[in-house]
Amino acid sequence: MAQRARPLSPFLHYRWQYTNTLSILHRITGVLLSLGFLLLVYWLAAAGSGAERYAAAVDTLGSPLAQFVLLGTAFSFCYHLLNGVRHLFFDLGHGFELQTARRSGWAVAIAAVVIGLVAWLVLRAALGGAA
Amino acid sequence: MSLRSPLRRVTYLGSAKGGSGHWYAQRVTALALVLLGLWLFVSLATMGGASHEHVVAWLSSPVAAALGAVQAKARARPTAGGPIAWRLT
Repeated sequence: MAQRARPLSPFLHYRWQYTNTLSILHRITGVLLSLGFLLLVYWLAAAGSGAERYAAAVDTLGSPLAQFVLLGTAFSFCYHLLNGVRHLFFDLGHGFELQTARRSGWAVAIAAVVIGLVAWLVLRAALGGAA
Repeated sequence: MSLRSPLRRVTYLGSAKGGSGHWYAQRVTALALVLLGLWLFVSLATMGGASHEHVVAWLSSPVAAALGAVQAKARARPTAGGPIAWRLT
């Protein structure tokens, strides 16, 4: 006798779409921000430990790996900030129409990439070797 | 250590009475962090090379100390309501 089809957990059969992509990205960028802020803590702690330690930290932060982490943090910061504001509008009951939600989602994603890149370049210039 | 699942132990006990407070704190800290985050970015972006003297002077100012402390507190606040795994789901 054929086995009766059992119901599936929702996330196993929902179609992948922009809504869950944006939501997952929001959580991932939140986690990445927590990690990225360790760079800031390291930099501040070095500044508080005297000129020599600070100079050493500036060298470390100038490495390609640290620069890559900073770029990721800049993007995460912009995405989480912009999408967070989008969610605050959702909380107030605005922006749920399909077309509006899709447009605001795309706007947030594109703006985060562009502004994140610009923010990274600005930080690099402003923080000298430190960023 | 109990062999009972956490779910079994809390089912039918009702709410923890902390939900709306947590929800409200998330919104308040979110609004505060929009402003505080932008302040942090502007502060770093106008560092002009970030010499050690400049960074120490900035860190020593009462405004940076106060806004930095408030920001650190606000960024840590949403995790106070539960373990991080709960926030990720």
